[in-house]
Amino acid sequence: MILNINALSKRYGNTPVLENVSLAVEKGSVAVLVGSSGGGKSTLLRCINGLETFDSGSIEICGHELTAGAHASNVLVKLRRDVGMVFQHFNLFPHLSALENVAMAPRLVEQLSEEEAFQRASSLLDKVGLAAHVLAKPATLSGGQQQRVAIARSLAMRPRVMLFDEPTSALDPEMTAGIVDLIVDLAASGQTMVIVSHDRDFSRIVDARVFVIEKGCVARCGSPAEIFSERSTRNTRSVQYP
Amino acid sequence: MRSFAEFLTAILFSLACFVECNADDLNRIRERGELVWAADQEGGAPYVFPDTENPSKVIGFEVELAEMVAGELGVKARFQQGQWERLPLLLGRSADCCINGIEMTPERSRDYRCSRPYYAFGLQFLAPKDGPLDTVNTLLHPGPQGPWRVGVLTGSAAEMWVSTQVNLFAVSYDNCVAATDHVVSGSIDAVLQDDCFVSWYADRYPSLRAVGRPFDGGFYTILTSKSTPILSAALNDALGTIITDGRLKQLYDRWDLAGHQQVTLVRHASEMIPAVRSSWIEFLYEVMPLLLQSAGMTVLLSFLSMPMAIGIGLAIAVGRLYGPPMVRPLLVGYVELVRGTPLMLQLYAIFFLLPMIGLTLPAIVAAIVGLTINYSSYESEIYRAGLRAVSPGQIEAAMSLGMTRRQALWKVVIPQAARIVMPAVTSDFIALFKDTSVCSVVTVIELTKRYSVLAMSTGRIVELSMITAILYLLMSWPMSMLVQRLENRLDTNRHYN
Repeated sequence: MILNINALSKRYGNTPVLENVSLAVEKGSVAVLVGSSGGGKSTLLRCINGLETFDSGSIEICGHELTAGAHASNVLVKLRRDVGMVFQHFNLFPHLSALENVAMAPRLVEQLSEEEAFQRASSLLDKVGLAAHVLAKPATLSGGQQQRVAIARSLAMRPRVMLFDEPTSALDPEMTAGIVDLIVDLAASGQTMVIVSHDRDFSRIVDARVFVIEKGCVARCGSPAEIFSERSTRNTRSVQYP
Repeated sequence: MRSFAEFLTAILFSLACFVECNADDLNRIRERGELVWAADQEGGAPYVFPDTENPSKVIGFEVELAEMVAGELGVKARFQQGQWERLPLLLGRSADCCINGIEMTPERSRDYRCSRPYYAFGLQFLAPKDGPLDTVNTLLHPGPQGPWRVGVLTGSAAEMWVSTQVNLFAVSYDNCVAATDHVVSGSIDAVLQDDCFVSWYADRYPSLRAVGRPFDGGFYTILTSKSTPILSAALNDALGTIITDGRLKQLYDRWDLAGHQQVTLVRHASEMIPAVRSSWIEFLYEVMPLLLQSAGMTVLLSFLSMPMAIGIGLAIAVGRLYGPPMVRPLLVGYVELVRGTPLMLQLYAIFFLLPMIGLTLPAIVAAIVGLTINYSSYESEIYRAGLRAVSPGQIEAAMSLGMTRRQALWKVVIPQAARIVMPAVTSDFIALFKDTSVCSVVTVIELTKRYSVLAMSTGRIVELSMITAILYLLMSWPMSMLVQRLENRLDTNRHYN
């Protein structure tokens, strides 16, 4: 297993956010975390990346182990070179162009030369369909374009696992379709991914495992067909849970 | 005939009005019951200075002189504080006359009404007893390290005299006591003051001695406005009475100022011939080199201080937001202390108090250090706001890419914060530009101080105001344009780099 979460619990004060969560993800597979708002999905994802601490349990990912309490900064730096994250609100660096956004981490973290970093960035932006916008600043891009840049930026570090925190929630349906397609293609290429989403279209990912997170616990898990209700309305992309 | 009578009536009426208007200045004072006289109590003894037993009250030989003169006019004397080199500007506003060691000069005779002299002064050096300066002749030759550094009162006869000497460098102070303290600390080589100051303070500074006998010099006068001829005449009469009946001699004897000699000298002093006002072009030719030199000083102080203030301010802001918890209270304390005390006090502390613990800084360095420290506190708050305005998602995104916290700060957060705070920092730069005028308290002559000194000595306030304002605009406007360009270039909403 490339990701193993064991009995993870977290509280904010006296309020439990995650309770005894355990799940495992195989290399090359996709895990989709679904559930109603406030259920703890995003918090779980942030715990995996070390952006949040937790009170008990452990996380093992790409050979790195995180335990309860504060994490050492050197452990997190190494972990995050193997684990990429794409955020709901993109979090692109507004003072840099798309090319510079994508090239920054390879230059700083992998110590690539400027030429090598820009070459890699250019290739990735082309892959996500933004070859014509490499010099554009994020403020001049649409939401869908910005999220593509964010995905390219994360892929630039060649992570072994990609985390997506509601990647389409801030987008309109037309842009959402494009992003979903992109992520589906990534899955098909063998990228290990954990996706938090309300969007049932991720059920198109073959061999995805869907985990229903409710009230901080894993309520159910199974294939998309097992989890998603046949009674969901035709014109809505939202999920109804059994 | 009738028209001639009407014409004569008009003339007589105008004359009556003229006399009435000018008689008003003395009548107004008598109706008010007090003569308001201006002086600078920072000038020190024996002129006008705070009574050590009751600091709210001023004493000095000029205080007693003012009371005698007012008594002769049938009114009481009321003291009005002002900065020495700007005292004449108070005439007609908050003071009727100025009595404060003001030297009678052709320029002052031209621009104001100077009373008959009441004191004959000479210039005299004060230098360390154990130093090499034992005669005036020594001072007029080069020192071992170049020109001798001589402290003088800004805008005084001593300053004008030193500026004509090749082997002397004038260090201008706002008050004589500060200059003398710096001779004691070794910051300057000697001080050149009026002899009554030297006589008074020679015993109070046991490590110093008077060098040579008084030389050059002139007379002190009571200054009044050109528009108060009646008052001026009345003051002359009052002084004449005081000289004749012996009260002036008694006054000077009380203050150990060689009463008999003084009265002899002032009684026989000849009238000063007023200077001729030069043309606008001649005036410009005279003052522009000095103004430009001082403008250069303003620019130097600003461009050296502000970048350092920004650097220190940014470091403090980063430390407060991201530094170790034990450091934060110290940084908060620094900001509150520096921000909560006036720049002038800070400059005083750096320039006048540090030598007491063996740290003597040149005036320019002290000015730059003072400006830097003062503005670093404001910059730190600006940058703290800028850093907090950057979304926390930015640092999360950076760190999720494998960057260290330090890399995330310097490559992602701070560049964004710098763009956010640029307008505020620009405003602060312009404020610092103008605040350089405070540096005159530590003897740095920048543009505003130069304007002030020239205005006092030449009386051409309007022309100097215009020229100085234009110089300031010429310095600050390009700066604003440059920053505007930089803001446009760094605008994150632009399409391309």
